[in-house]
Amino acid sequence: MDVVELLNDLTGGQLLLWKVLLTSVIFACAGLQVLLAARFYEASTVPPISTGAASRTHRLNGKLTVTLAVVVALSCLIGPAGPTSPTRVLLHSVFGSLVFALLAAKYTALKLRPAWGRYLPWIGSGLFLTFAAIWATSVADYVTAR
Amino acid sequence: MRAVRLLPLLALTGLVLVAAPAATRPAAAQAGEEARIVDFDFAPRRLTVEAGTTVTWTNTGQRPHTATDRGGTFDTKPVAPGAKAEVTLSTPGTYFYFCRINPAKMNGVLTVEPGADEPRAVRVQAVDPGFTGDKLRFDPPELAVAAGTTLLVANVGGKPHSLTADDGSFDTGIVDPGAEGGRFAGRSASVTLRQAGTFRFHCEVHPAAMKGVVTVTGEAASGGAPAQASAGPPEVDVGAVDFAFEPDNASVAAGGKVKVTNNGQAPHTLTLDDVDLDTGNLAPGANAELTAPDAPGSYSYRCAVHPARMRGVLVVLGRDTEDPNAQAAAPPAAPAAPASGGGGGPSGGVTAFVLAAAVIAAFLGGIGVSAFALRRRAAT
Repeated sequence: MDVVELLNDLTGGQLLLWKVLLTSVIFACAGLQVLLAARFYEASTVPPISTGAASRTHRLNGKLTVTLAVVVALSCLIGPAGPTSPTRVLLHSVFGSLVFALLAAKYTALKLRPAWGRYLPWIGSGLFLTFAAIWATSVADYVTAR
Repeated sequence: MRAVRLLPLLALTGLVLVAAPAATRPAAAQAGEEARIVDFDFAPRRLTVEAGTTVTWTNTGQRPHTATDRGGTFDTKPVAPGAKAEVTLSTPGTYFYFCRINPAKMNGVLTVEPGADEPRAVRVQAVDPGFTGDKLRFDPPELAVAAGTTLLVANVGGKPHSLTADDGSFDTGIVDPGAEGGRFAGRSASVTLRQAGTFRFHCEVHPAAMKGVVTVTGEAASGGAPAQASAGPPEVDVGAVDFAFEPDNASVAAGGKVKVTNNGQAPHTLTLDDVDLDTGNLAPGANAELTAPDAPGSYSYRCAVHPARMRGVLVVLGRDTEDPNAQAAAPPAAPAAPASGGGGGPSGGVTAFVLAAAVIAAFLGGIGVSAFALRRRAAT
């Protein structure tokens, strides 16, 4: 079974469109993640919910975001991944890899190295900015290319 | 909370459950001439048609794609999302084709079977590991044809090949591969077999691995007329404007004249990528004349001054070579709903959704990052 063929069948030949939509959802979720983190770190009073609720929502939203990111990343890896030209595609690959490197750093800080916890806001902010770069090097090109 | 922890697993399980029915769905029926182009594949990948059949590719993806013969005998040119392109093939044989925009991912095989009439030309492919990962071979290695039949030899690999009779009675000469080891479409050449008999042939470059045999029956008509004259025009006019070629896909007979005129306000050139043909710098209003290559095939060209924006393909037609530009002239289907900026783009709904998502993301993330940054500054 060819996975790209399967994914195209599943999406009615609109695989790229679905990736564009999911990437945009992931980007929005990443923005919400940083906002929620700022709330439960008490760096912000927005949104007006308790820190506990912000923490729980952050975890739930994080799992959703990572799951969607993995699905989109896999469809990229088995589909058109590989080219390093043009530069936009190369940058997209670099940022795509960087996201998972930052996620690994975040989980390490959470589970294995509690002392690294003070870096979590910066890792989270970096994740958001990297998702923004991924969006800019894929979706932005998609909607402006033609 | 347990359900939350299992969310990724549940999502993946759902994906598999949704995928399972599709995986067991039978492949699309290969009814003949209708085929689809999707991102980044052909559906079906293998198609068998009778000689003379018109194959219509509909691009149902979101990106422009082409269906291009690896041997250079047809090229749909980029087909916009929602549009169609047609190619009619009269020469029986196997055609490895690909998308020249996504050559690594999009490959298909088109098999043209002989029709009711005796074919006057038969295609033989020279295959190698080049870009398709195949082994060195002729496809097909054994043929039986009537005297007077033309063998159209297409190099669909990444190395040079020839089709040469062991006894020297015919020889295509070296047929060049596509540029960059088969990244681009290769060339084709032809020989006409007039004498009855059994002829073993080989590739002069790979004589040990590439061998075949052709059995020629009957007698060729006296006079030895070619199977079919080239349908290509003896000369073609190409204009350079600011910043495009008009036309950007031109056809001409082998050895024909290509007349280039600079109709723009900036200097331009017409420079072929794979052969040493170049007009040099043409001032506004100036013109030049090039002689097309003798070997049939597709030759990409560009303006050396504006290579990113000014590109085109010159199709040199040989005997029994279909003119892809003549086919492409058929009116395409209406493209998908245009985007705000141009035809074939994503729909306005998609554009609005992704832009709204980006604004929301930037707004939420911006507040969050700012909060962290401001708290850090306050702490210090």
